[in-house]
Amino acid sequence: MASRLQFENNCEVGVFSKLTNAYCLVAIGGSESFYSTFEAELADVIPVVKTSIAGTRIIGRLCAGNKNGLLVPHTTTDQELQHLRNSLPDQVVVQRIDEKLSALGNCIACNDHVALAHTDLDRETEEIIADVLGVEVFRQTIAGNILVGSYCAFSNRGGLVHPHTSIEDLDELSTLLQVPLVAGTVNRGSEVIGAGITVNDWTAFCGSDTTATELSVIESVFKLREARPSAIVDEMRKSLIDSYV
Amino acid sequence: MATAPLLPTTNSTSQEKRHRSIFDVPTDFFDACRLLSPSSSPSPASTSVAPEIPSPIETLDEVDTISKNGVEVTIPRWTCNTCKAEFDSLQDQRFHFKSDFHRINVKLSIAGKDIVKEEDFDESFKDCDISSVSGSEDEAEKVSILRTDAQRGFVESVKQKLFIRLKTGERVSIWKSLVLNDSESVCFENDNVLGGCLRESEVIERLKFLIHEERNGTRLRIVLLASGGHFVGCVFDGNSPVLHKTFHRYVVRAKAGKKQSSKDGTGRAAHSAGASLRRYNELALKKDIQELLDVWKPYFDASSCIYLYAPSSNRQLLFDGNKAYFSHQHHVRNIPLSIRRPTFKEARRIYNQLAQVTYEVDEKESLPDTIDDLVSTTSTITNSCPGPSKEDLNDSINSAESTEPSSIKKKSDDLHVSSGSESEVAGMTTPLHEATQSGDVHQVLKLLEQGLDPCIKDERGRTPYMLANDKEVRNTFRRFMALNIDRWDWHAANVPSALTKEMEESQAAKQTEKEEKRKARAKELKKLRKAREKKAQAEAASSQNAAAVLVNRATPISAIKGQSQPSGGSKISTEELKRAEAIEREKRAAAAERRMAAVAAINAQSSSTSTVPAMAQPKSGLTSDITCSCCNVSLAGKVPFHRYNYKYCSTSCMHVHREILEDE
Repeated sequence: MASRLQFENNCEVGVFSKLTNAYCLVAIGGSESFYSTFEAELADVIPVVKTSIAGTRIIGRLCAGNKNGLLVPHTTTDQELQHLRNSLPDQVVVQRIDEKLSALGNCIACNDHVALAHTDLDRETEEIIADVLGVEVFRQTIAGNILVGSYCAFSNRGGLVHPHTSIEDLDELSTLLQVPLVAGTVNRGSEVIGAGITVNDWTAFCGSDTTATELSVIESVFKLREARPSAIVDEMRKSLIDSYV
Repeated sequence: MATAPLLPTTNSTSQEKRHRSIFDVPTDFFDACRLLSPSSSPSPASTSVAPEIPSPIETLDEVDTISKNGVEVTIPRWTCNTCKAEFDSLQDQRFHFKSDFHRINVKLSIAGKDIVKEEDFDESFKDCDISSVSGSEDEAEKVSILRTDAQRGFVESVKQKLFIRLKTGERVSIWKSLVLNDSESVCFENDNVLGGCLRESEVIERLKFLIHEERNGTRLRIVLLASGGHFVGCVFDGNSPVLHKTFHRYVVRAKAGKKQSSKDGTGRAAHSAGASLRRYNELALKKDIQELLDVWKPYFDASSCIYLYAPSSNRQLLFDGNKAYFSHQHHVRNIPLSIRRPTFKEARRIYNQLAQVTYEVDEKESLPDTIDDLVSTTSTITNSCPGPSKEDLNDSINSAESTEPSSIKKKSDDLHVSSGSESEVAGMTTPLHEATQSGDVHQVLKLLEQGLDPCIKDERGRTPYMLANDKEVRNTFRRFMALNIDRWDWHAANVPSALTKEMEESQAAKQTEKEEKRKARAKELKKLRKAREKKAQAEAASSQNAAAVLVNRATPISAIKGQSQPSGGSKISTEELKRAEAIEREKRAAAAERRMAAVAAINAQSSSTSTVPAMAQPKSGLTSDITCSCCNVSLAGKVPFHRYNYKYCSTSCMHVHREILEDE
């Protein structure tokens, strides 16, 4: 299920947190309630790590990652890098990259299999993205916006893109990424999807301004409602069939 | 005029004829050719440094996309709306979205430009637009350095090259490392033949073999570059890269420079988080590279040579002692070029340079006498500019020979080359640049009059005008522009506007007018100040007199109360004093009258009410308060000045009274 929350009276939760299937990063110095919302939802499944990147709290916009790895910009300090290495699971590769465009979260949108990247990203960076995150990298824009990370959010199950994306682009993107996509908004009409929502395969966190309608769109496209029931059914089916036979 | 015929020859040779890859030359290219000994190599002045021509390599991606798009099947599902393309499978679509062609089109569409067709998307386009973004700035900066480096290091590069005269009579040069191992050398007829030397015929045989090679993956060439935590390995078959891999690890200490291991080697090992990260990364990089080299073993086995660049400590990434981590280590050749940050792009550039056949200009034309050169320099200048006098010419010859700094002299060589080939005026520092930068107005004017082009941009794209840091120099340009408005494209030269004589005069007039105004104002101010001073002095004098009166009066006041007092002091002589006295008297009279009236009133009312005295008291206080504490002038109808409990008619009174009080 999707949760609504805010960071110090700011609804752009995607800016202050980074959620993947293997870990969750939360900005340091937020109120305890912000942190505990993540903890309550995730703590028994994946680690929730409090950190800063390059001394700032806008970690969601500065880093990009999935269950395989985490990319941080060259402005990240050695201490932060070491803290991340120590806190994240061993199979997650943390890599600092020398890239002029340092807001990697804005330039890269990815799930565990594919990534969309800013067209100006360096060739070497593209290679690193492919290697570290284990994804195929495509250069594309979202509704004419070059900052793909800001204007879309997608998991392995679905994705939400900028509301002005045309139907053709939507079809093209969803075939390219192989996930169903929907054009929509978060935070009561905000088109910066990436900033307003942070999502993984079974849960999502969005800004507290998000309306019920937006929330229902989010839950349906990211398939958050059926996440648990379907798992339960899958597990139960075996036992049911077992007992029948 | 020894150099004059040189220009047309170099210009007439077509681009592809001047520099082409050895893998592209026709198979009979080296037939009946002769190897030239290095002694007959051309002088640095004659050969321009081989410019980086767009690489003739088509990356595999492009070849594949083109071949795949040749068979287009219209299935509407897999599309690219940006490039208006359709694909017959998801794979194709994904391949397209990774391609440079798509990337360029996305960039163009964002910039609001038309997209390019796949057919038009050629090499040159690729090179200029898809250059690597990261570190591109420092790479770009290094280009100019490299150019000068190349110019300086030409003598060395001559040693690294083989010069060949073709059957057509043209001279070409190739890098020695293309055909020779590091340990091998070429013997010429005039040298004594030693063991380990290759004969000329053997070298030519090798060259012929090289261009007859089949491109079937059995004669690969591998480029390995490693420095500063960057590594690139690239396998080439002929011109096309077969396989490549880059690594980058954070190993170099930020700001301080050098690798962590070399810092540790100096004795004091740091224990910071960064230091341990870098140590770990160095090991990890080495491991990565070794694993890669293991995986690439079949390619190394099939390779004919390996080009290596791993300066100093980077060598241990690839070698364990003397033994390399890859097979075929006897085919290792060093790269005789300067190398930037190891990236795939750089590896391709290096390989293209190495495989390049450069056409050299003929040495007879290229070895001009120095005197001849100078004369030709100045004569080309006169040819290009319409009207300098004969005297001017002689002047410039003399100055070039004797007084001019050597840098300018050298640069004027470049100049006539650039003025000869008008079309490629970019990237050239002319004497005009030099003169402008040094702020030498006369030199600038002279050079402009000699007809130097002010539109020529230097390596960093700046015209001479942009280099001027002095207003006078800029004005020189603008004045010259006013006189020769049609001669050059002044807009291209970045000169903003012409400066005519009338404009200058009007400016000067304006300036003087301004100056005069300023002076007049200053004068007026001075006058005002003087007047004020005078007034202040006068006031001070009068107040002093008043003070004297007060002092003199101190005793009579106590003695004779309420009566008019004749001027008692013997010192009083001036009229002013008398006047002051008179005023004083009047005031006292008025005060006495008021007092008497008040007393009468009190007496009249005392029987009726008891509160009257209390009422009358403030009243009388009021009446006494209403005069100036210093000069006793009535303050009725005035706004008094207050100091403590005193009230004054004016500030000067206040000052005087304060002085009096302080004196007491």
